[in-house]
Amino acid sequence: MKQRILFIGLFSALILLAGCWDQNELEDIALVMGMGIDKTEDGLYDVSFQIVNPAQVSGGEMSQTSKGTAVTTYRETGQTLFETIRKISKEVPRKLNFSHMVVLIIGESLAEDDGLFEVMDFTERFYGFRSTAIVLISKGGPAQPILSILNPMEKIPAMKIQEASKKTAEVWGETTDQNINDVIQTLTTKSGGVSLSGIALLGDMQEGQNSSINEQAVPSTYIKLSGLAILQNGKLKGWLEDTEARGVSWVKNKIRKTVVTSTCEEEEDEGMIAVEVRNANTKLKPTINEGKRKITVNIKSEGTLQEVTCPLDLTDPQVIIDLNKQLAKVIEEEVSTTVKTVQEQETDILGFGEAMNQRYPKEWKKMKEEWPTTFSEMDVEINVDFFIRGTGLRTKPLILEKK
Amino acid sequence: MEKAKVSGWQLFVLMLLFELGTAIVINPGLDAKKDAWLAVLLGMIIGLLLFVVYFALYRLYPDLSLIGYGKKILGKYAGMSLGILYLFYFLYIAIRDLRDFGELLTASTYIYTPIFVINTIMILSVAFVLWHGIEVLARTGEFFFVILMLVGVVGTSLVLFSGQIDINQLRPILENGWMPIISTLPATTTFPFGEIIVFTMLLPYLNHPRLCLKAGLSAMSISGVLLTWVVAMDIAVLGIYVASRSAFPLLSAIGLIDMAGLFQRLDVAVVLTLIIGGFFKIAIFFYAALISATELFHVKKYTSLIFPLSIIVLLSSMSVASNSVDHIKKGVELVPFHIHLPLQVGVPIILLAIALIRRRMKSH
Amino acid sequence: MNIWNRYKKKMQRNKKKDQDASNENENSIDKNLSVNINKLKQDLGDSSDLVIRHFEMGGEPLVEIAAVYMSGLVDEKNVNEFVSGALNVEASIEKRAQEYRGVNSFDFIKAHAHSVEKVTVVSEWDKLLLAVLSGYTVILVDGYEEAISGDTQGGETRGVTEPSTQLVIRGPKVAFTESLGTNISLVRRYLKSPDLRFETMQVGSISKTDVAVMYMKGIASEKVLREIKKRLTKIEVEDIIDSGYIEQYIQDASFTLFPTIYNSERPDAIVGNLMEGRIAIIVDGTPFVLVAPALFIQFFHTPSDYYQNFVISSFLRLLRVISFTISLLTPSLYIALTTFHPQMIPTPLLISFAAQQEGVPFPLFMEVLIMEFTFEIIREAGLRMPRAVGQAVSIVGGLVLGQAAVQAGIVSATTIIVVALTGIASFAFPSYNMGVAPRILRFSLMIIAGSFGLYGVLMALFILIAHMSSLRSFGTPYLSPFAPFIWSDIKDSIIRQPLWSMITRPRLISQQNVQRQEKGQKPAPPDAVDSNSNKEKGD
Repeated sequence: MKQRILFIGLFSALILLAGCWDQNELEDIALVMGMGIDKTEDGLYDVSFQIVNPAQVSGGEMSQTSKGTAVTTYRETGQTLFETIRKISKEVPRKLNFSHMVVLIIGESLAEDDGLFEVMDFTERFYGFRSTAIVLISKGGPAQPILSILNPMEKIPAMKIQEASKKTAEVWGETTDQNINDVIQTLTTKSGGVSLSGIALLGDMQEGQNSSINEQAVPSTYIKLSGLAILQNGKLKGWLEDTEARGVSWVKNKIRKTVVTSTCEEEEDEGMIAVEVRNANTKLKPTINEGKRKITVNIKSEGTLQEVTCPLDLTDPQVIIDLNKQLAKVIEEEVSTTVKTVQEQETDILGFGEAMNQRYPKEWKKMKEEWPTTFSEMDVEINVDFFIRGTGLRTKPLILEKK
Repeated sequence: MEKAKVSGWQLFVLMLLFELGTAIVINPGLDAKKDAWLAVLLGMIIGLLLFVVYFALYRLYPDLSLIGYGKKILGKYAGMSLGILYLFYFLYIAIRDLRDFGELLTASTYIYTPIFVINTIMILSVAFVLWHGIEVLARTGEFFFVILMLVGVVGTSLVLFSGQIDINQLRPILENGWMPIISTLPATTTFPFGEIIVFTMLLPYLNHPRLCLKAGLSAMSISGVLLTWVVAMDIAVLGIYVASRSAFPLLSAIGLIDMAGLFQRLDVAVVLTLIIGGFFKIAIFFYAALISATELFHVKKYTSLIFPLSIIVLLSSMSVASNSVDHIKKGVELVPFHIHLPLQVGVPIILLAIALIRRRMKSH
Repeated sequence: MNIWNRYKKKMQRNKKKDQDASNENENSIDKNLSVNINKLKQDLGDSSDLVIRHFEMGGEPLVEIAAVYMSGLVDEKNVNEFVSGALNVEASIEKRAQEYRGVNSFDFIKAHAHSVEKVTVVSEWDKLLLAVLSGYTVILVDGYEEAISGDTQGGETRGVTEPSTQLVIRGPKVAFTESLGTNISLVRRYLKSPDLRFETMQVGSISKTDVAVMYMKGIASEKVLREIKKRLTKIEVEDIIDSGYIEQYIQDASFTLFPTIYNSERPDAIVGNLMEGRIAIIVDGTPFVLVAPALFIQFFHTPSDYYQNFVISSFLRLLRVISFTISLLTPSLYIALTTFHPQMIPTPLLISFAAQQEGVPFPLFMEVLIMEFTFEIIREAGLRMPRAVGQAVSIVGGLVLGQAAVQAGIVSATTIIVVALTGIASFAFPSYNMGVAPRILRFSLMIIAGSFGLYGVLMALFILIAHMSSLRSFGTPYLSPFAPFIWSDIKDSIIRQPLWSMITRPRLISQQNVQRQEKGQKPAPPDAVDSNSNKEKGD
């Protein structure tokens, strides 16, 4: 009995005496949705935060007080990243909360000059950070303006970027949708190449920051995912554009769905066919033959015809077989261009090193020191199989009816 | 002390919770890099052998605990000092586990809360449960076992379905040969498998001692398989470089789950897992220490020792290491080789050998 | 404390001794009738409901006779029958004279007094008093130190009505009443077995309340039965008004919010429990019958679970357990997640929470605490008020407090939703007793959640579950069949298996006569039945 009273007394005293150290009222935290990191000319970090104004995003009846922007972007400079986060309290009357952050944009010049290692240490160490935020490199300018552009479709621009990146990875395959954890994982592998999607600002920045942008039917300013940055040892080395970027996804087996177009070679008419790739599987097969290193990229994919403007008789199986070969060739060309470009950059973003490591662990230990040169010189064989599984709702194309 | 009514199933549950306890969050054997899971699996097999040794000792002296037959085998004074050694051992591990637990909580979710407060709440709850006796601990264990398994199943399936697992991260197997695995074996054997030695203190007080071999072996093998799975999963999700650098790999791995924006940031669930596991681990070590003290100093009821010992555990958990780096360093270098190995492997085997030799001499 | 106890016991002992001594002289019936009548009047304070009817009998000498009873407690018709039967008024004078000859008047009355039940000869004064006060009619005969009492109990009692608690859609619509006799008969009607036994005793030194312990012989555990009887006889209080008194005196642990004795006013529930080997305690004067031993999960069962499809029952039971958890945990989880772990809440939801929280003057913890408290007030107010006022209470409570508070921006709509959810959930399980536990625990959990977040909640749950598993109900672990885990008892716990598959009784309740039905009663189309029976023959 005595012990019980003692216990209850101690316990309740503890609870009553305890301050609420880690407690934060929702009104006291500022949700950071996106973060952009640049560097000023003096070598300080110039960090911008996209912060939500909850009342403008979601509305109970009482919250619709005024028309404001759904997000506000603040910026602060400092010698370290953590310093800026605390220093920004001079501007933002709340504590920044990074647990719902969805994008981290790194300025192009920062990526070029300093590299990612310094930046990524903080994102990994600081508990508040969410390691599922996707990492992007701003293309053709600093990160700050990109974060400050408003968007009519999605109230929170950072979420728009995230969605766009995810959707593109899903239906087009050009972006790689890499989050903080993926970046750190690839940074730490010895083959060392990282590929990150780029994001660019198009149009006038001043206009894009005004909430009136949301009233334009054709936005004059917008942001768009574009290209794929190649990073070696965390430093930006170059960009891949459009289908070159998609070639990386092909090799890394990241294609979920995409569209492949091809001209109709056999006919004289200028027609095109478009195929939606629905299933793609890539296997890398490294071989070492008498000291000669070689990687074979085997791609197997299938899809359905979605658009045909060539006069082809699609009821004929032979035509389909020919088309299969033709499309396979298109993909093969796309991939080989990518591989060549990447090899020129001497940066293994294609995962060849890992494949080598897994297949030949002993040899890998020897070659990993001079891997970039090895990589750029090695033979790459690309085999593509493509199968058309369906032709859509119609068989014969409409163009055949044209007289 | 009277015999506690603990069924075979309950003993199994307690052992499983004890084995998984902290090990599921602080993955052992990551020094073996990609083959850590193999190291864990091998550690389990050696652990099973160790358990057979403990059980053999128990069969020789079915009414006595480790300290009891220690005295019988070594004589009064040597046995007494061995008993005191084990009392300190159990206390020390309870203290370390409490500190581990506080470290994780303050590193992950409770950044600004003093570790002292976190530990106080923990030790108070442990004391409350132990005050009701081992039976209540066992029943509470049954309840939280179900919760833990549910969290485990849900967590694992979410990891599987969110497509985070990349099996290639585990390849190549045996990249650096067997050496790294063998060098981590002492660590994986002693933590968590060899720690089952605490149950030698509990066994004589249970009313179904026969079930304990079955319960122990099955609990150890199941927990070993689960740990292997978790370690492999962590590496497959995070990659060995991230996994070996993170203090709590499971926390990071589960944190990556993002299912349609609905199930996200489940790392707090991992923290809950640790709280459950840590609770039972601390409680069982603490209970073993309590029994050791009652046996050594002939105290009538162990409940009267709960309060002073919990104060000691609490205060020592604060002073056992100056900071988290120091704590982890001791845990990696000092504890497995200088504390676990001799007390979990050396002493019991020597005791068994002496006991067997004596028996033989007597029968001749 | 011990000294105090000892002192109290000593005092009680002394008091008892004194009483015994003084009673000894007076505890006999006088030979003189008028002395007895006077003493009776004096003892009962010349109460106006005491009826004394004087008769004379016999030839010579005339014997004075008095019939004594309390007017409100008896059935007048029974009294008349009893008295007239005893005096044999109906027979002709000659016949009476004939019979009377050679027999003394007392024996004569005794021989004829059989028109009512329980006719006994009383020789002690306090028994006589008790008989009169219990609604018996006592016939005193001048010149005899004994009296004859007969059961003429009656008076105003409530008839058997539908139960007002534990309503079921399907199932018998009968409830116990305040009368012990009626209640026993209600149970007997379900179980026409000689093994249905009950033992009555009187508890309460003043109230002398009849308490019946009812059990199935051969099914109920003898150990528990002995324990119950031991605890009942140990009760030394002045009065027992409701079975709640008994419950508080015989339960295993007092310092707990969880009921460890089950109660019901439904005879079918009691019968079901008796057949599982439990023991019922029926207290005169209350329709609520106690059942022990009781398990935690039992409070989530209703009798109708057994009357309908097992899938529906299992689903409903699961639902009740979930609503118990909701009612216990929702507010604390809400506080913990929003103020400590906002990262766990999906982004859009968190933004919506934050939007609503904007401009609310209180910290979230205070807000939830105030609203939960308000809800408890509304509930209590609605419960005690007359039905007409009760509606006004709910209108004011629901509309004014809820709607207006949100519109005024004093509380956020989410908080109202959380409070409403907990409120509704706390009504969703059938036992009122069990409903109290989460209502109170909720507040302490909220305080812990407000200061330590999920960690605090989890630690509190540890303590709660440890506390619950340390509880016992007459030796049966409270949380069984989950902790300790008993596989064979899971069949009727959080789920309910089909009736034909529940072959055995709950293992921990009683080990006697374990099998309750034959195997292989699964209903099946005729030919399947044939093959089944063949198989069994083969076995």
